[in-house]
Amino acid sequence: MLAASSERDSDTHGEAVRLDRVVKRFGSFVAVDDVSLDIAPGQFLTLLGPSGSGKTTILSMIAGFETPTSGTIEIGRRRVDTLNPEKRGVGLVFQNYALFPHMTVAQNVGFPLRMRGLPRREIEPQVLRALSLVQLADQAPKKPAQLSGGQQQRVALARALVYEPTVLLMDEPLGALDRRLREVVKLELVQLHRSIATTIIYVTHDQDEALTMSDRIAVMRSGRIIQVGTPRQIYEQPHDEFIAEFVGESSLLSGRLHEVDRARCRIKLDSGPIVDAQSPRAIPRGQPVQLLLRPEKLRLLAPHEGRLDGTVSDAIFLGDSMRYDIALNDGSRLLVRQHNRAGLRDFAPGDLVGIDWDAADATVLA
Amino acid sequence: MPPHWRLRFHPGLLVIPALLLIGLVFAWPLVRLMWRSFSEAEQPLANFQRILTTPLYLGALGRTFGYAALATLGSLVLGYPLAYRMRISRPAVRTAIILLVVIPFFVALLVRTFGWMIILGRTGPISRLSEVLTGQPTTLLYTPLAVQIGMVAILLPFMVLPLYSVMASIDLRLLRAARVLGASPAAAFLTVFLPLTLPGILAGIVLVFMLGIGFFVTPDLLGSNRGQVFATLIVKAQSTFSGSSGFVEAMAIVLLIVTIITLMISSRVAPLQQVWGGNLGEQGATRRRQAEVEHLPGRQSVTGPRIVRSLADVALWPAIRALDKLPNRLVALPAWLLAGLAIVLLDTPILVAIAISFGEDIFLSFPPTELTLRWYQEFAQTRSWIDALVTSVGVGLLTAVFTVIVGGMAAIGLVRAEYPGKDVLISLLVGPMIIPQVITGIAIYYVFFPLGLVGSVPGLVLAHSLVALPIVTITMAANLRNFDVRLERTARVLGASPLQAFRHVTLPIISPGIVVAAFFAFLTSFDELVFSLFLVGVRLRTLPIRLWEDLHFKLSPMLAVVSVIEIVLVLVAVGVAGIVTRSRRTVD
Repeated sequence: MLAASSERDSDTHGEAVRLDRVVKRFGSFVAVDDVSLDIAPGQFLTLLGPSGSGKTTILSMIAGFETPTSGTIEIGRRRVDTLNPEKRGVGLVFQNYALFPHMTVAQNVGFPLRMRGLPRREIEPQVLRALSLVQLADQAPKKPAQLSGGQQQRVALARALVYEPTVLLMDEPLGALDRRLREVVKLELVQLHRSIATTIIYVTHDQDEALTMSDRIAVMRSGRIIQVGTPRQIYEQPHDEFIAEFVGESSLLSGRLHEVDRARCRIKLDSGPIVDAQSPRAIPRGQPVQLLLRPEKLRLLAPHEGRLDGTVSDAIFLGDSMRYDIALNDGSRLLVRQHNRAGLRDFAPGDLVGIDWDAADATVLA
Repeated sequence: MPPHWRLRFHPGLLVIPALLLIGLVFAWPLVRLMWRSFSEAEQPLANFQRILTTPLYLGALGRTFGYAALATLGSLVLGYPLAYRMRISRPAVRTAIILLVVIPFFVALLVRTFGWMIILGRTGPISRLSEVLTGQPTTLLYTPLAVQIGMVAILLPFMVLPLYSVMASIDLRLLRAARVLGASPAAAFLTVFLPLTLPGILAGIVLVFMLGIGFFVTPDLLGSNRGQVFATLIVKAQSTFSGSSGFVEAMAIVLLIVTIITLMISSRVAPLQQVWGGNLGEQGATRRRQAEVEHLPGRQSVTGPRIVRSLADVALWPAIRALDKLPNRLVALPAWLLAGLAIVLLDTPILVAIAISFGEDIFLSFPPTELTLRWYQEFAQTRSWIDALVTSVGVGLLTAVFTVIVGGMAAIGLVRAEYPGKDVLISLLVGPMIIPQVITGIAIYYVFFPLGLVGSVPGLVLAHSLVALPIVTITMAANLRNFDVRLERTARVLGASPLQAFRHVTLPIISPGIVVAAFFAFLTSFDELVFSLFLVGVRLRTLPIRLWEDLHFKLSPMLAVVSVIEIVLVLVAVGVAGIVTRSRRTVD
């Protein structure tokens, strides 16, 4: 019952969730500023942004705790923005899980079914099914306080899924877990999503979570969505410096667009050298630009063998890789990450090095 | 927590002075009282026989239970909506409501009862309103209804505060979670919020009922001579039966036994630890609370026992669905009206007392027609009032200093050490708060009298300290527990001795808490009436004693002046406590 039903999918051709020009003001503060977003059925969409960027407000409006100041919200082509939360039929996993402490695990998971007036004999099997989905069937009689953080998280998930909502909202659900557990649950969530094909809207400020789990990421800043795309698009073609710095590690060098052809372009850096990069879209020649270089895309060579020269100012062993901090001759800095592999030379602070990259790996930002 | 104080003596020993005080001024007198009730009589059980066969006493016992039960019900019906309103209000509104509850809580019960005497009296607002409406003045004063209203109004904070403290610990996101999972507002409230507040409800019920049983000031002043409660009879008997038949003692013992039985029954259902300084027993307090929540009846309201289930199916769910059909406002309105009424009951007597003190009218009409400062002048010129004020302030200051030292040591001994029997110790410490003061007062009298302590300042200070000690210890223990022990350990690593670390690191940080505790102790002593009634003797007069005598003798506007002094003191105390807690928050 929790598995994807193809019938339901074909039923909601178009969008599972649609936000149209949604604005939310609190007094004079604009929390959400003219946001439009379409989310396809079965998609895992992440709202990614720093705290205060409006992502949780969007989630609250979809869930029904806040009413948009203007604009409309549709779930499955039904307008819901004035509906009470209990009438919307969405699932929601809170950051602190919000498990009812006075109820057992089974009672927690059965709660939404009870509220829907299901007869008792139907509730029990459904609760068990939802609990087995998250591998907690044996914990049913326990109270939430008797479970570990990871288990509580899964109970919250089971409770949100048991009534088969078409949309599942998750508000930083991994925030309360320690790092190791987070890694495990992250992968579990991806697998779960694949097996149930529910639309998921996931809110986080953690770029790792966003990159690992999402089909699409919407990056938010100051109440606006500033870029929507697949994780790869967001990582490799960020629209601006803010996104580049927020998602992944990066180094930025400033310069001017010198020459452009179809596949690649040449940038004249402010420090003098002219280097190759991936051809940007629609930037006129001569305009000041930023060259985005991701650490793992750079190679360290002997001096004068690469596109730029510099001095190693710091070298840190990270286990799977070496992380180098390189000072360029004009004083700007580059991060380089080199895999820990036989045949690659290690450098020490003070070494002179050349830095090289494939033109297709260097992105130009306007 | 492992012992982190490498003192040569065990920090648990610091509770000894507090134990001595409780032992000598509380436990020993009670034991003596019990003994006298048998030994002074002609036959051991003669006194008890007489009490249990005389209609006067049995009637008073029944009345006592009736008043206490109705007061409990009334304060629950009014207090729950008020506590709920506090919980869900914006911080500014919440602070305002908390003040409106806490200020009456601290204002002496004598002052609030005085306010009620005016409101319910012949020249009061209710009587006047009825005169306008029906042409007949109505005097509610000296009727059972007046007693009941007064008791609800005065005991209300003891219901609201435990309720609110439980509600404050409930994450309101649980209600949101219930809503998004499909519960209507009414269903979310009944299935999630209400069950979670059950410990607070039970705590409030027990607290109010227990206090109600031992209550006598308000019933005595607002009720008629014929409708007296048991505690009043004890006080009256003490002043008339001067002979040593042990009869007064036996009456006190009867009330004590009734109290203890009530306590034993209620401890089966209510988390009593939580009611009386449960937070004293630092470690495992939350664990214990958890266990208590789990063992509460009704916890399985969801798919609990079959009977509960079918009851829910038959009655609860149809009721909820019916509620859902009504507009939300219509459901909320009665609740807000009750909360408003609660505030009115709590605060109008205080406002009335203030207004009366500025009124010209010697008959205490409310509202006053002309404003004057005449009564303040008269107060300042009356020697006996000033003497009483000086005595009260002096006794209050001595009590504050004494209890802060003894209670502070006890707090350290309770928070900073683990040893078996700590729970018993805590129950002993809060004992004076549980046992009706009438009983303890008589018991102390019989021990103090031969020692010449009756009618003396030291005697009053010792007795007042007994009431103030639990409050001081609880406040200081809470403070110590919030203190980050790592700071003290850091000081030790940096070379401080245990005492130096305490003096230079711990003490400065917890000092605001000490100030607050001292204020509470002073206020407790300043307001203390019941012990003082037995212990002031013939010549010594405290302010509450003078008030008490005048309230019986004649109502005069001077009483309102004393009330205003008292109210100003409370406002200062609450203000200081507020400032102190705010500054502590910024330290955190």
